[in-house]
Amino acid sequence: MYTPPRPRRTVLLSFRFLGTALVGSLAMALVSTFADLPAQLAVLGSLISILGGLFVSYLEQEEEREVRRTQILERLAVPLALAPEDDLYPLYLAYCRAVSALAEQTDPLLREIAALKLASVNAQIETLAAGTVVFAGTETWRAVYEQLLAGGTVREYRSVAWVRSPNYWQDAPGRQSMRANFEAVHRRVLIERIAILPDADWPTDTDLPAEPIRSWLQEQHDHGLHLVLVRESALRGEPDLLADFGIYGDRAVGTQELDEHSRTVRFTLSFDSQAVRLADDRWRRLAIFGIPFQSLLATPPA
Amino acid sequence: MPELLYLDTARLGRMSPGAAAAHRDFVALAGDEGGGLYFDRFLADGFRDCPDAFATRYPGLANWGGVGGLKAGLRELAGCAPDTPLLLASRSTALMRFAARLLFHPCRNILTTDLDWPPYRAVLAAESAAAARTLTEVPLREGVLSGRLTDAELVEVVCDRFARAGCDGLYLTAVNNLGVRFPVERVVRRLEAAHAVRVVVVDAAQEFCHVPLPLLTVSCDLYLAGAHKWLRGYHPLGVAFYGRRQSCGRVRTVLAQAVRSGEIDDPLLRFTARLESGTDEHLSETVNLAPLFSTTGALADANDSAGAWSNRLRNREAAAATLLAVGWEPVLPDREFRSGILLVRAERPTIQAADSDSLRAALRVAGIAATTYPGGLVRLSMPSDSWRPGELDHLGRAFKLIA
Repeated sequence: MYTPPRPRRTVLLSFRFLGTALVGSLAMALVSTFADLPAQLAVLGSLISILGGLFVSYLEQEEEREVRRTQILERLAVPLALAPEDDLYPLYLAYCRAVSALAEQTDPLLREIAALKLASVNAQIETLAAGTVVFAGTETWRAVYEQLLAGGTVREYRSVAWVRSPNYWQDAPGRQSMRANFEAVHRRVLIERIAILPDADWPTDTDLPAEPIRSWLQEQHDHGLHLVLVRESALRGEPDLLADFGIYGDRAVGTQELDEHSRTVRFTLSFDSQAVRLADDRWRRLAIFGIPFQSLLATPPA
Repeated sequence: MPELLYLDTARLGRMSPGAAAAHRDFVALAGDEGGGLYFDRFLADGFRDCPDAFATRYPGLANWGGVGGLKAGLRELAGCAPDTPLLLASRSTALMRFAARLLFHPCRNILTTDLDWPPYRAVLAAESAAAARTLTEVPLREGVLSGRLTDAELVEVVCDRFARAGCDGLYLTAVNNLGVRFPVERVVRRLEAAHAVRVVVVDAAQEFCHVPLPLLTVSCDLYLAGAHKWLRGYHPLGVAFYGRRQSCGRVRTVLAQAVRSGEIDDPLLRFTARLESGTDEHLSETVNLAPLFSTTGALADANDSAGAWSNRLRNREAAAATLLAVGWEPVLPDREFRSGILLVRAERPTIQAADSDSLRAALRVAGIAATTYPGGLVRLSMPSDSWRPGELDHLGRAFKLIA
């Protein structure tokens, strides 16, 4: 409940003012009664000088206080900017509390380890602040990937699948992500995929890629994804185009790094607009080498 | 009142004799058997497992051989391979909605023309808006109807626009409601040779059983037709052919998904798919089966109408000459665009100013069933047989009365 502040009492009625004024007036009255004129003037001058000195000292202290206040406000600036961020501010406070608690630990070895760990955490936070999320050695990135496709804000998803083994996206997490693709198409997300295939899986003397890649592509095509195929050998002169990445509308770019068994080594998701532009440029360059999968299906079998 | 000369297939063709007989006997069978065991057997396979007396009691249904038989008949009529898949639906709009979904799954920008049937165009526009994709419309109608645009020029204009607008899908009307025949196959072949065309859908509601059909599943991914216009089945029945090598699996998958999610809720489509697959669906909706039987009856009549196309074109020329002589100007596009539909416009300004319903009523009183449009425009669907003696005179007299 709001309690209105009490009205400030006039300083003339305060004890300090009345007491000091009364003592001073009494002293001056005594001096006026019992001392001669020069003595009276000397006392008056002294009193005025003391008053001036006090005033100058007050101004000096006030200046110091102002500097200190500004310094405190500057230190508070980050929390003030964070205060309206409901998702970040509690985390910031928790971090501050934890670091303050850590400061109370005195063991030098513990503090050394803590410093190293915190440096690593700080590096991660800085990466996040730059708009990049890195998932290393885990498939948990797929949750974010599916969230992006299901969120409703991404209307177009363009992906490049660099298929380096027939097991590409054939494991359980990969199948789950494919289902997320199909559901997204059903929700009217336009999905276009360029699949870069090794010549072993798509020999130059055959129209269609070999199994199981062919079935993997056919299933996507049947669900309404637009597929374009590129032979890996066609990119020999432009090796920078060999990559696994996805462009989520104009919002983000995800880049996947896989090991030889098609397991995720690292997935980097960048929300930086410059990264989106670069990926878009890369996509267009790749598309030049592509053949639409549906045109291959149209060819009657030999 | 003079005998009615029925020249209207804009919405519904006149029921063919075979369709009428099938319908009559279906009603009789329904009255006798209701939904009993014999009806179920008849529905699945025709008279094969029914008492012998059925064949003589309900002769109009003799051609019914189950949904598979009906589809085989439609395939044969369309000149398709026996394994060409096709869909049957009680509402053509349900199939059109499906077509729109199919188009906008992989396409970014669909090219259409202003020759499309407006309600179908609206379905396409709604799906385009929902999917945040683009529809590019090429204005052709005025140029074609005025005779200023030739066939070759139209192909050039459409292909050029497709390339310039960055289109990747096509929705075309094979013959539009005003009788303009669109060179679908030439446009598709030319575009596919030069561009990535992801999906092609053709509205052939006015083409099916009217114009000799090209290899329809070679040049498009979904061919939308109906049995109630030129086939003269009367009861609305939407038909869609597909089976193009590159899109057959896609059509099947997208359809299964749309049916499963309830986006396509046509009861006949579900029912016929169930009958064919032999799966049991106890909680399915009760379906009106009348279109299946009347279409089967109409198929028997349609199969007998060889040479119908050349008859229609001859009839068209004769009707145009007759009507020109009595104050009605034929609207003649370039020869390649012409079909078995003749469009005539009243020469007198008072008739042009009359509302289309009054004009239609006046024609009916004069013994002509036709479709009318604002501006004194009348659409006449040419019969598949040559004009019988007296019919052209009847036509001329009726139009002279109104002119």
